[in-house]
Amino acid sequence: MLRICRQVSAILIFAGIAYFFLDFRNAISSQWSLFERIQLVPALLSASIVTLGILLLISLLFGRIYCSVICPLGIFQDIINRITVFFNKKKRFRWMVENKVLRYSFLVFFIICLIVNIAFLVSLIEPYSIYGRFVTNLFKPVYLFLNNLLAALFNNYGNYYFYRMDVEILSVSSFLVAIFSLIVIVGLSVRNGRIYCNTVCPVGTFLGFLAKFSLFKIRFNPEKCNSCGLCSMKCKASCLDGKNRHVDHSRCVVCFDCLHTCKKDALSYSTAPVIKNKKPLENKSQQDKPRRLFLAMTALTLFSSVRLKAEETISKIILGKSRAKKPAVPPGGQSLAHFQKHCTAYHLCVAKCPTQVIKPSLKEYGLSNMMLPMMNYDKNFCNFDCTLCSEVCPTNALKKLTKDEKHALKIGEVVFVLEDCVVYRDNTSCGACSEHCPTQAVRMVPYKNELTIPEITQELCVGCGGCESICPVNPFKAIYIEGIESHEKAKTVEKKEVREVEIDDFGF
Amino acid sequence: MQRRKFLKAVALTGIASTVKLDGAMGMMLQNVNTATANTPDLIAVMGGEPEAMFRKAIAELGGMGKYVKAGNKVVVKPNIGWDKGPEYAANTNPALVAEVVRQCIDAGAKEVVVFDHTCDDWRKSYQNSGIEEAAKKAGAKVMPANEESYYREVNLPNGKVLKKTKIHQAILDCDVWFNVPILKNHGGAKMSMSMKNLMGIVWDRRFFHSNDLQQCIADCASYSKKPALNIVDAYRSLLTNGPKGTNLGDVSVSKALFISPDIVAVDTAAARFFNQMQKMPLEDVTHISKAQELKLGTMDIDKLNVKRIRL
Repeated sequence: MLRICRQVSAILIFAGIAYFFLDFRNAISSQWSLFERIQLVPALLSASIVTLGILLLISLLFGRIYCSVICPLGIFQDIINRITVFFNKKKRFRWMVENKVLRYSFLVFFIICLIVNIAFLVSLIEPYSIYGRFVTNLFKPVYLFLNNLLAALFNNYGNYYFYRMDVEILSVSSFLVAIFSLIVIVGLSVRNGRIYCNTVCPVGTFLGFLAKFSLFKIRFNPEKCNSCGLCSMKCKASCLDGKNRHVDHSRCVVCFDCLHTCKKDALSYSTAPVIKNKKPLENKSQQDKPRRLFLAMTALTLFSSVRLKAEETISKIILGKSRAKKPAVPPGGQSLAHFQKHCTAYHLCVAKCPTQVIKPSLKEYGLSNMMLPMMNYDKNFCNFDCTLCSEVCPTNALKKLTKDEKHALKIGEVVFVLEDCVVYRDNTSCGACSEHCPTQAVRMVPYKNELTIPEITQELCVGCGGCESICPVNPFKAIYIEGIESHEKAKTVEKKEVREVEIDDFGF
Repeated sequence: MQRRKFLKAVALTGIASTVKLDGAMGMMLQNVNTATANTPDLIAVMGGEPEAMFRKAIAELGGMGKYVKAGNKVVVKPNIGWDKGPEYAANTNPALVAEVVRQCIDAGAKEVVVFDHTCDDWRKSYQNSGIEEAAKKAGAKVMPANEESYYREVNLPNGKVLKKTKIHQAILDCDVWFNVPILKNHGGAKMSMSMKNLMGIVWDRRFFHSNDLQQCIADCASYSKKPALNIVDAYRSLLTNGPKGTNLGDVSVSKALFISPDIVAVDTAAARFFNQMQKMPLEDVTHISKAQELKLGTMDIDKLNVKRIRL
């Protein structure tokens, strides 16, 4: 019963999250980012104390239920595991001793990366980030491809409910990282079940620490148990030592598979009697911690000094297409500093952006922030009235905006390069940039003869990139958006009434 | 038996021929009618609601049945370029689009397709322009145009700069189509009317902008499958900051409509009408004269049979 409850709620949450990511038609409202917001690291980064409190409380009461029911990467591994069991009925796990050093090193490393703000490394090991990248960079293109097949079929018969979408790889870097982590995660979970969760995942380690003290736990009933070891074989977390009737609660993800397996009904999920030998365990880890911390710190300092050098050289090798020196942070991101501190490259904004202007970065924010989303105006631009990315961001790296706030928000500034402009260069009409400008920060003013040429009013520019995206000049556009350190207030065009013009003739 | 069969056959052919004759006769009669009534080359209407103005104008032209035959596949191509409501005059009036669609269906069209290659996000533009809803309600199919695979390449042998371009399949596959732009100021092309609206049937517009926009607009209008009618919506006009506009201060409620099969003539008329509200010398809108050079129509509208109607 418990197991079925776990499976049903896991599948519901998993499907909810996956569909929210994939829903390119934006059929479901952004309020459904609820499942994204109850994830631990997003809650921590957005400082939502209530969510955090509830998650901690749940873990203290029931153990690592979070890892089985809420975490999409955890559920994903369970699904993979389920599939392999389907093909290999004899699949067995076995009890393994905890690798404490590795676990806590990863946790400490993660915390330091969070503090020193190396978003790239954070996003490499943070579970929700990994999962978000799978969906946005790998599953979504497949989903769109299937959609296009359906569209081709239906459109053929004159039905346009389905429509074709551009299938593209958003960014080579995040695509490669996603592929790589997919192979690693699938490989690990096929071989060793939840080994990622119990070795690498910082959330797992943190919750595991809490789970040691949780009220409800999986417990052996020594009177019924005959030490057959069946439970150990079925434990995907490898935390059950059936022979010695021991459960490592810090690694148990409370999946209830063991309860389901045990033929003697010797396992139960129940409140605690007095726990023996708890104190020495705690002391040991506390003794170990300072030393580990010191080691990690040293490694990190070394790393960051090397990092700067490496960044410079690699940046020189990989030349970006845009002329901009700084990337524009998506709306709601406030400033480079705020954004880099709070974003962990979940790519939910990337997946949801209706105009696909938000793309994972390469080296634009610096290598330590690789894969953080940025505005890529090469082909697309930000819709003036749209606030979706700011609504869905679970970490508050993008703070929620209203339409009016967005209209008055400047996320970048326009730069016009006269010598490259078609009008200046070829003496022909163009005006594509001004056409797309929602505030007329780029306005066409009289030039030679009947020609008009762009003129910039910087304080009106919101940095939407309409001008850059449509500029026909190649390879470097004649007009582009330069990122700014922090977002500013743009001057809004004053609202006017419809113009009254008296005409009583046709004019011809 | 034989005789009965023979009689039956005779009866059937008789019916068939009358039906056929009926159609042919109808067309002939219409031709006679229109010839005698002297169909205007250009119709200008003023002072009514969009639907009423269109009804009046199409009646003057001899009814929609003259252009749309039973079983035809029809395309109505409005301007849906921007994510803006109808009151901002950035897109064609939805009521007018709906009326054109309705008339096509009443004339027996098998299907009516509405689409535009938008500039803003197409889903939002279709939705917020009010055109998707109005057209669907009137019985049209609203088709996407957001992806290159909806377009096929055609040659424009008469084009000076634009020699070939990709055009939306709906236009290529239809029997008859109507071009339904809105009257707007345009920062680059000066004016956006019938010819400029054709940029919404092509895929690659950047080529236009980087290779003499005005010439490309004219070249594009030389595409052999011409719209049966160009229906310029001037119920609201966008006087400044076009083609998107910034706020209502750019808009004037001008309550007019211009219709002609001659794309050059109708744009000339609309531009001259526009010039009364906001200065716009005709010679500045060079794609009109360039189209005349390509023999796509005449700017000399004073020599045409113009029907002016005030409601």
